[in-house]
Amino acid sequence: MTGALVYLYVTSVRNAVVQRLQRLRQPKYLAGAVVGAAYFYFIVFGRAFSRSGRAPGSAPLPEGGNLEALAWIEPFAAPALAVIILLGWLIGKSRAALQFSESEAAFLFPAPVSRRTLIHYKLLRNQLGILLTALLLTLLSRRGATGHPLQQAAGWWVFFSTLNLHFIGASFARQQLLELGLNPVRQRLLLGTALLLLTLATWWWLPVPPDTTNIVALLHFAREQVGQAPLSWLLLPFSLVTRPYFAPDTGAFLLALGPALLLLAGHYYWVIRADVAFEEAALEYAARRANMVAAARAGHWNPGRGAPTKPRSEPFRLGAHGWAPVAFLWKNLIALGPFFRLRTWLIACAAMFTLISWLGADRGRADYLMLIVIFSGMFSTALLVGGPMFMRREVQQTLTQLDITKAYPLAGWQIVLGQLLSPIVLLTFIEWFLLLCFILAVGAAKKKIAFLVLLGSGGMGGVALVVPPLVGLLLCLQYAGVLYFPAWAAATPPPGGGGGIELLGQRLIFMLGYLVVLVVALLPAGGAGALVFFIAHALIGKLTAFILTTLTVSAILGLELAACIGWLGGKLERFDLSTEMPR
Amino acid sequence: MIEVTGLTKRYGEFTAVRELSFTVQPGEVMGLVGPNGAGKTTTLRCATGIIPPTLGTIRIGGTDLREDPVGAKRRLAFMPDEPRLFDHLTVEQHLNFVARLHGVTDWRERATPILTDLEMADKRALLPGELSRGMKQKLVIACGLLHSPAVIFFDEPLTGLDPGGIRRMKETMRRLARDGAAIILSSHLLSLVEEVCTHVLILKAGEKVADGSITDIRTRFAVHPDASLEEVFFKATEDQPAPPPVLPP
Repeated sequence: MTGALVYLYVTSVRNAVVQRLQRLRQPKYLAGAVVGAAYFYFIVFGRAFSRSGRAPGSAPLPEGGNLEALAWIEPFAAPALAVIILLGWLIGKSRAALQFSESEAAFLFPAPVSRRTLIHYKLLRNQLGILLTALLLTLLSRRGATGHPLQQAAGWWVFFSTLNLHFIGASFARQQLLELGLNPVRQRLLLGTALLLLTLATWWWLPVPPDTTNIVALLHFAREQVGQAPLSWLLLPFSLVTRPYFAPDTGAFLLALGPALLLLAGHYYWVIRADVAFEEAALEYAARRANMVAAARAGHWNPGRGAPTKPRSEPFRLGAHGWAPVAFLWKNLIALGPFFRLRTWLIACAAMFTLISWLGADRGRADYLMLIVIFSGMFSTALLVGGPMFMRREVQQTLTQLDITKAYPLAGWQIVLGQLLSPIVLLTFIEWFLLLCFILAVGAAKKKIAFLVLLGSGGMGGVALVVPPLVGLLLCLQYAGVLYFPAWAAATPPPGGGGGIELLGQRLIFMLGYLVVLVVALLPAGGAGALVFFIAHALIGKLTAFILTTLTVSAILGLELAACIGWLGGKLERFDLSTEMPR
Repeated sequence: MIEVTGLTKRYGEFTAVRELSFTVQPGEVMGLVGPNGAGKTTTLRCATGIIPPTLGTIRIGGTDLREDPVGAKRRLAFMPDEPRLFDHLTVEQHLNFVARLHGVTDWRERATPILTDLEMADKRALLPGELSRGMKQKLVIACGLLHSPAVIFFDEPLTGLDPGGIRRMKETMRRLARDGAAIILSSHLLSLVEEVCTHVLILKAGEKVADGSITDIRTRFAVHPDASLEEVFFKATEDQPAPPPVLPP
């Protein structure tokens, strides 16, 4: 029977690899693979194997800087692991956590296979992920590490294998406690109380830190205490796991490896000897995971959440007659929920106005105003560029809903506009809010009411007008990506298997294209805006020139947006869904 | 009326539907049948404007789908086999949304008898997550019927319905045809086709094998006058019916 499981495992891995290699015959995957491989070579491998430990072309690190950093990290590794493990016990799964796919459960659970064999099978499957993770982390952490790369890889492997076995064993233990009548809440209460008592006892034992206001002194103190009793004894099992990774040379590594492997073997024995009925929990997990995958492939935002059961309020009354794209906005705002309403925005604006007025009333609070200026400016810029990319999933749903939307009696541009309206409205209102924060905070910080009023009117009337068409244009780029490169814009990896460097490469190419098109789209508006500002500034004055400039930029962006929506609408009408969907 | 002339759909080298022509008059229910991969779904998708045909013309109620897709789509309704609903819209909000798309101003008045007929009058405030598979299917049908389409496409309409729902669905299709709608019903359930349809179009490997009234088809292909549509189907597609299961002694 073990042979059948090994066969399943090996064949699945082999087929997945073959499938990946075969799809490289398609240019879109080949191009992605080349770019992805280049990224890995120059960014990851280049950094890992270059002498300086830096990516080619980047400045070298100061001598010994990494080793010093590692020496600082090492004492805290065991406490960090302790926290991870204890949190796992406190908030981890309350039932046996062996995770099988639906097909594995369907074939293996009714088969004449012992539980122990199934556990072995899962442990073997987990090992592939652990080995790959260990390899990747070795490459990524090479720059700061000591010793041979294999030594580090082994260190990572010991760490993750122990952690994996511990969490499985812990879930088994909790399941056994559950079967004994101790429900998860009581288990957590008991464990939490025990931990609290242990922490208090340790706290009482430890000396008082010399200077609690100096964070560096505090870290030095913590480092010393971790190396001394009682903490060193309490943390011993955890430090046994982390020591191989931090070993400075091969001798130290081998010395550290022995106890770590013994501990690992103990964990293995604990897991394999546990006689726990994990099948029921595994079936539930398999069904949940299958639903999540299906939801993710359908482009839903939060696949972990089930279908809603409570109707949400309508943002406005949708009349039966009128502009059809508004129906999409209405529908999508309902889906977003009651928080995304005009009243929320008005309340947020009023709250911010009150806060800034209060902060502005006292000179001593000026630093907070500057913080608002800095953060609102940073968020506004980041959102403008990254927001449409963040909304990618919303746009990607175009593909999954196309067999419905294309049957609507609407022109292509109406469907495009309808689908873009809600992200445009959402991002615009957030941008307006940030703009308001920025202007109010600047005005309050400078104590210039006139400045506030003028910049406010100019800014809100001018810059605010630029936001909707600009956001719309950026979203159009996403939409165009979906229509012109549907396979690249897929929300989830293809059913053929996993992500891989080819998909990473595809996304890198796509992002580069996005930035190029963005620059090209902004050139006419930017050029015309500069010209208008130059002339108006010379003839009329700065403020009027600023307003005229923003109006010009907004108008040109608006025209570009209209043209883009028309063009995408035409493409949508001609778009052959059947080439992207199974017949 | 549905008029399809010379419909051809190619996917690269592969031809899914070849030179397909047929007409469905008002009041007729045409059963679209064929083995898996025969081109039924492709034909439905082309005829509803979801995918463009490679060649050929499709007219819905006299309007060319290629020249005036919006006008043609105003006259049709497509009921897919899998109900695809919006998670956050209630039953009534679905109808409101569809009413806006089609500009149905009196949708509330129209919705009441439709929902009553589909036994969903008390489910107006429910979300799709609270509906059974059959109820979801009914909601799709209610949305489809709201604008009184002249042409209706049903793709496996009985999937997920209980016996009562199946009976009502058959009656709904007959009633719609009586009221003058031209209907295409794609299904693997030959008994349903035989019971509801006035005409049959049998597809095989993308080509029309037979087209006409059930009586005509039976006369043409049947080995005897009382032959069932299943026998006619296998004869027409020249496939052997699946052998009866061998029971253990």
